[in-house]
Amino acid sequence: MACFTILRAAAPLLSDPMLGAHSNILHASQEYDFHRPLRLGDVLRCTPSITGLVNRRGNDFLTLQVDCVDADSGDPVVTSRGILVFLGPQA
Amino acid sequence: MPRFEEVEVGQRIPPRAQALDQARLIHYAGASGDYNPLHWDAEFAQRISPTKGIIAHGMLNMGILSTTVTDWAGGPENIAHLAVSFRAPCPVGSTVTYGAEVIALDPQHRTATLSIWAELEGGERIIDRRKSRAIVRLA
Repeated sequence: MACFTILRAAAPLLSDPMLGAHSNILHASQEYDFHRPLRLGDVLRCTPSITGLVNRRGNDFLTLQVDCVDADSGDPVVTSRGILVFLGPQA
Repeated sequence: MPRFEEVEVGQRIPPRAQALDQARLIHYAGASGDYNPLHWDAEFAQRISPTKGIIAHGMLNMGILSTTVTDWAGGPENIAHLAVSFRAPCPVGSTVTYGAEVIALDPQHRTATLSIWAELEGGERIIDRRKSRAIVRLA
């Protein structure tokens, strides 16, 4: 799940010049809600979104939510939320 | 998979200890695709890291903690919710102990809520037990 909910979801953030993101990152928290068990052969459609962004002491705390649904039925399978800390230049 | 009637508040699940040396961090980088140099480049880590040294991936610690819980729960399909707060960095070379304690039971849904944590040899918590939770479906 780490591969999909952090790395692949964060990739568009890191490559977006408008956002001003960079790769000096720490991971502050991570959570998953499993709406049903994952099964071999599942095909999931995962949609990342930024659901929070605050600056504390020069560091940006970004909340990245990823909603994973069954690609066939559209039913929710996993919701993940993680907080990534983009370290400020003085850190 | 534990039976609801056999689980008590205050019960601790079997803990796990794991040494996180540089080789393990490199294996995890390859397995996860997380090639952040914070986890393998000492020079980069000296500039960026809160410890001024190489630290383990948070998700590696979350993964091992998750396995500790799923082993007790009888499989990953019995986990309804998992949340961790990374409280402190985990220096490379640490031996980490992962643990969990049942803090609440829900007879209606037959679930247990566990406080979960990971700590260094000196007892310093790297995953914060006050903010980290698992909800497990019981038989």
